[in-house]
Amino acid sequence: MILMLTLGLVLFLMMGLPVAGALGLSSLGAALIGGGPFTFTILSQKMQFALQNFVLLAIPLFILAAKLMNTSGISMRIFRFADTLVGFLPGGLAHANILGSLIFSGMSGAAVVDAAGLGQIEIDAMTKSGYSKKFSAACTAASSIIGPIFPPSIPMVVFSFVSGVSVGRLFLGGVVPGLLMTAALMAWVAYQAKKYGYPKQPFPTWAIARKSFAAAIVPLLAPVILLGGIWGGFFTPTEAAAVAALYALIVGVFVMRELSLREIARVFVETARETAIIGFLVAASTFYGWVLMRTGLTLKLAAGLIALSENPWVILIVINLFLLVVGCFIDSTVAILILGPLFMPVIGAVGLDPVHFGVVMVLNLMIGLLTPPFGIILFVMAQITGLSFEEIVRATLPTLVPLMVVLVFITFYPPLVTWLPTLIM
Amino acid sequence: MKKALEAVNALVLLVMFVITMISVVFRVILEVPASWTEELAQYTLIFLTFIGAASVMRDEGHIAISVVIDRLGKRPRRAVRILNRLLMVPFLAVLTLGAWENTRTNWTVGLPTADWMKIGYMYLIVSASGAIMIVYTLLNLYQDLFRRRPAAAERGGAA
Repeated sequence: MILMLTLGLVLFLMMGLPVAGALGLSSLGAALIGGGPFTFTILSQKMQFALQNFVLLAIPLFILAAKLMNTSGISMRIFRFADTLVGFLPGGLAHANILGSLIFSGMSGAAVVDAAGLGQIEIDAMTKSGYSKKFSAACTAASSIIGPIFPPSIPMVVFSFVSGVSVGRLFLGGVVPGLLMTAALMAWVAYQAKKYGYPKQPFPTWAIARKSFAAAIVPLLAPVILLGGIWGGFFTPTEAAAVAALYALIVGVFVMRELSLREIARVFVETARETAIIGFLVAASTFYGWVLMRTGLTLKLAAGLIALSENPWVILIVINLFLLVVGCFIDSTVAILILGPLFMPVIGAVGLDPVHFGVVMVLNLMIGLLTPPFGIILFVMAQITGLSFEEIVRATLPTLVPLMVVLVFITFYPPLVTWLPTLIM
Repeated sequence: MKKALEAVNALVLLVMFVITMISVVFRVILEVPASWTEELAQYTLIFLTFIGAASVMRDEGHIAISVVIDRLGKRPRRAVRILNRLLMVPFLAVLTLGAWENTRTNWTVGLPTADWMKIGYMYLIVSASGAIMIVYTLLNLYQDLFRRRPAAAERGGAA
């Protein structure tokens, strides 16, 4: 039964079967040969029941909010604002790129949306000022993964779904790591700027600073409403996502006047499509999770890992290395859905904080978005810049160093993650 | 057909958005918790997912891991693709038939918060979605077997 489930799943995945189908088929096989009470109605029951979850509703609404903000011109204003803040440093636009991503990530929870929307603007601005396409793409790619770490975050909603850990706590846990990533990437940019003598902009005059702040104030309020609303207990993460979408819609239509009805309709169609892809995956993975429990594999794996070492740090190192490899090949949502239920019992058994583990796991898998051969953001960058995939890979590789440093820090010093949620909630 | 499904889904997304906003208004501003909004919003997600998944099935948009098969030659890749389609059918068939069975047993069972909304309706959607996906899979299979051009190139990644 275990053999059917694991080997079948790996085989089906390698064959390029849609992941939802691979999960469903291997689990069905395992359930059928495993004996015990099982009827065909259970598959549809589990798949349907999975989606009766109010937290999951945050996913489409956050995607909607981020897409609306990208089409409404809010991203542009955020980037200009970031530029006035840090543009006077050597390598100014590169710093602005990273800071802009941090600000934008306060509204968006998906790295790919950040890379594709804000990324286009950032790369255009940087190449126009004489930065190489490669360096621009590297900065954009690396900083886009701040999006799913700094709240809100779609991968953390998914992790919350598989682990039962509160979304609010996970969101708060991502704040300090998100800031650390920003700092680490800016340090890397500073080093590059010094080495290659990158240009800087003149120090902004008071008038320019005021103007760019005034232009950005409306978009800057979005994360304040969003995060303040969740932390203040005014709304749940799901409701906050709806409020964010409404805010983006109102700002786009009435303040920016850049959103037409046709574009809004396109955003709705796109969002619905992406929701269906994730939702179907979540549904299939729930059935897999149910079969996985019946096989007892999770308990055996937990026992096996604990036999290896009872030291939680060793376990964390092993899991981290494993996830880094997996992240190179598997989509992050898929990895969280398949591996989350597998690892959670181990985490509980060795006494690790699930919020800590969740943030570590998400950051680890997000780094996987930047590594070949399946780094989805690398593909997006290649598409935007017109550079080849190999060129993008080589340009982005050095940014993995600062990101890995942050991963090591938050892995071995849990308070970086757990301090804020414990303080506030 | 696919265009129609997409349009319906965009509308359902709008409904989900509106219902969630209503729940905020009720709870935060009017201070009357409305539990029916939560349940109905969840049902819009089920609709969105299953009907959406059906339309995504047609153009192969579901996330798949293509690292290995991309390395294969043209002919073995085609063979694996055909095999994949044949493998999807039993999974989808179990989904469709199981959901149909559940539709019949739950046809008159209402939601606790909104009695006019029957649980059976949701299973009917799952069942319909499964049936549409089978049709699309077979359609893609037919295209693979008898036409040169494969259905859309496989690309994944939403989060």
